[in-house]
Amino acid sequence: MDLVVTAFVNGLVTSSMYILVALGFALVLSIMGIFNFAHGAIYMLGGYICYAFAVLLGFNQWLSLILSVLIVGLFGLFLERFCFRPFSRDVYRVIIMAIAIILILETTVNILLGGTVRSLPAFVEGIIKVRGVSISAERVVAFGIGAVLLFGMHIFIRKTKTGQQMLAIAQEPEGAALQGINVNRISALACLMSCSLAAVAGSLLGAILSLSPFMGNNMLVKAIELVIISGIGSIGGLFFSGLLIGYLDAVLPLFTSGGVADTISLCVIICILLIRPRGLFGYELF
Amino acid sequence: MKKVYKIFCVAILICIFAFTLIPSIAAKSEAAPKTINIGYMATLTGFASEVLGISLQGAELARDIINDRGGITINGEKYLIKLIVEDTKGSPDGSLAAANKLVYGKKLKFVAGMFPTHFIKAAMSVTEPAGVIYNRCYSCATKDEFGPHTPYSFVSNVSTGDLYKSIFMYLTKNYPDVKTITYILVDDGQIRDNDRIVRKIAKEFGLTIKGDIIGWSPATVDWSAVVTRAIKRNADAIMHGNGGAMANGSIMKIAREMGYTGLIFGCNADGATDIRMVAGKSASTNYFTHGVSESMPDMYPITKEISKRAMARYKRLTGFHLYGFNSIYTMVEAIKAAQSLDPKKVKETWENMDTIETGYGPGRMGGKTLYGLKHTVYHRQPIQVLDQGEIKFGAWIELEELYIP
Repeated sequence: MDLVVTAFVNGLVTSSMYILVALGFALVLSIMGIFNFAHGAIYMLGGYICYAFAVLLGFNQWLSLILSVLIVGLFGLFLERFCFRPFSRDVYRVIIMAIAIILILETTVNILLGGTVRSLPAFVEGIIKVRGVSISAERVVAFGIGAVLLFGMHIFIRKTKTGQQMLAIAQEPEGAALQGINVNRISALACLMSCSLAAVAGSLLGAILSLSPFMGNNMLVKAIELVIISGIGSIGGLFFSGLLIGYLDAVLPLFTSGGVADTISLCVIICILLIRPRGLFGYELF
Repeated sequence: MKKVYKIFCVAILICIFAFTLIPSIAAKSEAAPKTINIGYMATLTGFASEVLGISLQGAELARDIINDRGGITINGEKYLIKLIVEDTKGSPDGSLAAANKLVYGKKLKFVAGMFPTHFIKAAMSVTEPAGVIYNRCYSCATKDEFGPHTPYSFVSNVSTGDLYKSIFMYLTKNYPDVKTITYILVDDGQIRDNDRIVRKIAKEFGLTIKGDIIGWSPATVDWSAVVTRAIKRNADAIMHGNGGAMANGSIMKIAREMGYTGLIFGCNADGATDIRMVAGKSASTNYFTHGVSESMPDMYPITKEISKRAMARYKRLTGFHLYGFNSIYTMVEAIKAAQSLDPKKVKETWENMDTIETGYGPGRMGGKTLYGLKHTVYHRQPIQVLDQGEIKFGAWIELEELYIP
């Protein structure tokens, strides 16, 4: 029973981490049609900016998180305007651009702060006990923030005019433009939101896990897995695929070796794609 | 006036000629020392580069210490050491490319560096057929990476198999109540061979590894499931092996968050400083590991010099500095002993040496029992303790005797 509760809690927390990172990746993919492979590096950048303010400059940790979100959000605007917009119809150039951004960000952080492993202090100290199972308060907070952001994004896209414009662009960019929607402005907003979400994830997980210039690589793979399973353009699907992958990663290593657990997870993804090539919720637009 | 102007111009030209040409002639007339080019494969980017990259700093310290002493003399000729560095990019194919560049591109006969088993195997597929001496920093104790089939490979530091011995020595001496251990290790191809070795050595010390080794994938983001599994084994202590400070620090942090207060210890190259950096001070207690610090007591002069230089230049000293240092320093010691730059002669001399100087002080050559060839450098090994968030010195382990200050 103890193991079941532990696995349940672990799965929930791991899922929330994955969803938090994948949310921004999915947003840019859905609105702009861009596979932003630099999302993992942007997630890393968010964590390091928070670290710079909180640890190196001694700012309040929550204030550092907000500053990180703002700076990385602005960086998102820069990326959209100068790196993605000029190549929005050219998949290969966007991929090369994304790889260049990864290399530039990782190398810059490596040179400025060194490759040494670092960690942000916990945003919230303490341990919470649930039915005899201990969970760190910071993991609960990360889960809570992830859930609020996911819900907030869902409401924003469903209920606001800007959200509806995003939906329209995701569905048919040219048609949306003919209806008077400023596609560039909405794309810039999507990129800003995507990078801000990555910064939130990087800062929170930088405290829960640790910081390294290459921490985004594994997370990017998880984000891609989530988006592929859920199908492009589905936030509800992202929630489901996050839970699926999160629980596979949290439960399988309880019974088997890490390599085998990875293989099983990937086999599940392949099976899903064989049955539904567009992903589980690929037909939905958000 | 015109004549004066002409004389002035000629004088200027003569001066320029003198200042540019004479020093180069002078330099050529001096007997400039030759250089021995040693390739160094360092993981500067990618997987575990946050710790593995530090070894390059250690290699640079070795080069500088040797060169500041005037280099080495081979058959009456002075040689300085020059490092040629290639990044392994944290992957086997990156390691393969690095080895190819050094061996076939730069035509080097001596290469050093690297840790993870799958990187080493990739590099060795180039160095062994080419007859190039490869003195790696570490061995993960897998049969493929080291054995009689790898005659040109040497290991410059006490590595996985022998680290088990030293850590179990410290464990049994200081924690006599611990009889059963749960072992967590990265699942990158080293579990099978390590399983055989660790159980054998544990048995020698009256210890039991409970259940199978709990392997975690190199793609792991969150180690919660792995730690849950380890805690559920109800062993007397949890041991983690190779994998990097990020993973091993996270393992301790998660274990403490889950309410585990028992002993955790590390059998790998991560020092206590990096483990504490990831785990946080509050989680860093009831823990010990192999590790180096500038405040260790009873250091040999060479270790003191490394420490002094590392602190001055890099503001820190870790075990990875020593790993990198030894991979250059011990190879140069072997070249010195062979009095030759022919890899075959160096290899033959090296495997017949019984003692060798290391960054830890006097060491010896061994490894016949464990690996089947006498290509491993043995040296004293320090243990670090984490107690209530503070780093303390544990002991110097001499493999056959335990020294506690």
